[in-house]
Amino acid sequence: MLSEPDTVLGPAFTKAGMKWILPPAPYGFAGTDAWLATIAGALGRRKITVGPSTAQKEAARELWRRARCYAAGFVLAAEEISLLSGSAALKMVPVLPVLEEAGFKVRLFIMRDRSSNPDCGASYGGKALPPGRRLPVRFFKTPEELRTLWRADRALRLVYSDIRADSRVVSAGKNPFSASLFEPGYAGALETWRRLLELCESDFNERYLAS
Amino acid sequence: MSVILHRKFKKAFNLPYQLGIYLAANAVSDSCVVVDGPNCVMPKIDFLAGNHDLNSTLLSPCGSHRVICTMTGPLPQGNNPEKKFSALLNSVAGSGNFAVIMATGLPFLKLAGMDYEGLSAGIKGCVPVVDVPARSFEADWLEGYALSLDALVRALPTRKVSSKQFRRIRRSGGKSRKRSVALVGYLMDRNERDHAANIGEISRLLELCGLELVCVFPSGGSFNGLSRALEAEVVVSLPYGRRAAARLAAQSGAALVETGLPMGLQGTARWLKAVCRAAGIEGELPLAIKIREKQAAKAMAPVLEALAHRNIGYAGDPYLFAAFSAYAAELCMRVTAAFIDSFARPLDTLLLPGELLFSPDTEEVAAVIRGLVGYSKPDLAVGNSFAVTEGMFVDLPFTELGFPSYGHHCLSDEPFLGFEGALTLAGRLLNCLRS
Repeated sequence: MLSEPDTVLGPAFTKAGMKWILPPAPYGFAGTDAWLATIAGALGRRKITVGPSTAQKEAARELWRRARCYAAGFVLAAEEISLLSGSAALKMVPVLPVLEEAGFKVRLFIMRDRSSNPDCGASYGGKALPPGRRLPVRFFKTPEELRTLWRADRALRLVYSDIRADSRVVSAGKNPFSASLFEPGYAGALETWRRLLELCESDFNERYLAS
Repeated sequence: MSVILHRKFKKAFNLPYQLGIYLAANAVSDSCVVVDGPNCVMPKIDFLAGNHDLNSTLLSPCGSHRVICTMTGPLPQGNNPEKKFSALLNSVAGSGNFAVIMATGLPFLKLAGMDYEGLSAGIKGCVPVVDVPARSFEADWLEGYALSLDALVRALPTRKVSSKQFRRIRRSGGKSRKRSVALVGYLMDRNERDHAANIGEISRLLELCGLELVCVFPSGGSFNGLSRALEAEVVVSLPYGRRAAARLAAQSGAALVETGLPMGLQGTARWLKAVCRAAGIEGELPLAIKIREKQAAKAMAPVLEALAHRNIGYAGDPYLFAAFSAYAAELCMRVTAAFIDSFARPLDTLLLPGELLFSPDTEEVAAVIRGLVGYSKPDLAVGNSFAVTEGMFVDLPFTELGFPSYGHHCLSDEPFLGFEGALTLAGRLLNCLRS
């Protein structure tokens, strides 16, 4: 079982006659279900009996209720949108599906240049979302424009960044978050959503560090 | 034998009533406690003098200690023990060494009918003698401290000023006159620079709000200095001395406002607002306060990511817990377990951890800690020295805070209250995590 695509190990296992799989990463309830189902399938088991416990489902419902008020943003190039569903760039964490599963709204911020496809929001989905699914996309040309977009969006509390305490995000009064906050498994999903909500409900950056 | 004894008499995470009285005496530099009881009451001073408080003056190298016991044991008493006790009180009061005497006794002597209140009231010397109720049977150290502060208020000279008089004073003083505040019920558990810095910070912040801090009751100074609390227009009642604050406000005619501890950025801002409101200053806090708050926040910003989402195990007093849990939440941290070293009492916070025990024994604590697995497991511990000596948080980074702190002393300014305190504490938590 590989945790990410591997150009050496995969072919090597195949050559050695060993069966191998690359299941979806076990993040979120749905992702964990899918991960278990893939493994069970590979082992020839049709039904899997594990899943989140009743208490975990109850806790998730409470977190989802709170998450509905908040939005998370991604600043990226149009061609990077598909990476949000799980890629080596994001440590294989399906950041976007996990956020959406919890009820967070998602915003995409795309720098507009000649090559930008204004309708690229519609192109997002593929494997992770039902066909025709669209995500709100905001275009910007300059950092100032991006900042204005962020500041105007009250529900937007989180902005993805792998840079520690990203000053661009912090100075706009938003909270940076990254794939490192995400934890695997059912308990990990709850912890992930709890962490994201803690950030959403923290007004430290907005109150003190926004300029 | 020791195993049997341990099973029968479990070791509870709580501190004795007498210790609360000693803490109050330690915080008033010329006070003395006279305890009617055998000399087993004396070793409790070691919790404090020289161990928690490097600058304690409870014990004197020349023998004029500020805690005195009668050596009276549980054996049948001689005739008229009251007379003997009165003579001792008279002699201590007349020694010229002390400005106030607090008299108390052990429970078996109270049960035998000793009237400490009457005996104290009967001493007509040049310094006040007041009783602290002999409640060590049923009350804990926080109650001991609170009742001692209350006794000290009773010992103050009567200087009642009515609200009407206050208004007149205010009018005569004009708009520019500073409004005065007394902080009553401060836990001055040691004469080190953590508390000196706390008081300095609170005083500066109040001054920026146009308020003058005339007295912190108690703050390590003399008994005479405590009488300045009677001059205050507003008495701020802190949780460690609610009764004393209410009595003082009733005596002086000052406005009374009950608050928690000014801890954390928002906690301090909220606290200042409450005090300002009680002093008749409405509206937003002054710009100077907002600037200081923001400065502290900016200095804290680089540590936020390292602290965020960390779980904390807390062991200590309930009032500090209430303030600390709000501070932790401000930094996106969570207190997942709290062990409170007092009998059960209301906690002034909605941020209750999943595991909360009052006065638990070490086995109960161990069972809770064993049960904290996965994402509720603490990443660091915050608490007093007994959290370490009782092995509550083995192998966890530990920030020593509260009473007692045997392993952490403050020779230079190290506040934990106010905006400066929020910053200092954030630094301590980070260093602890990284150590």
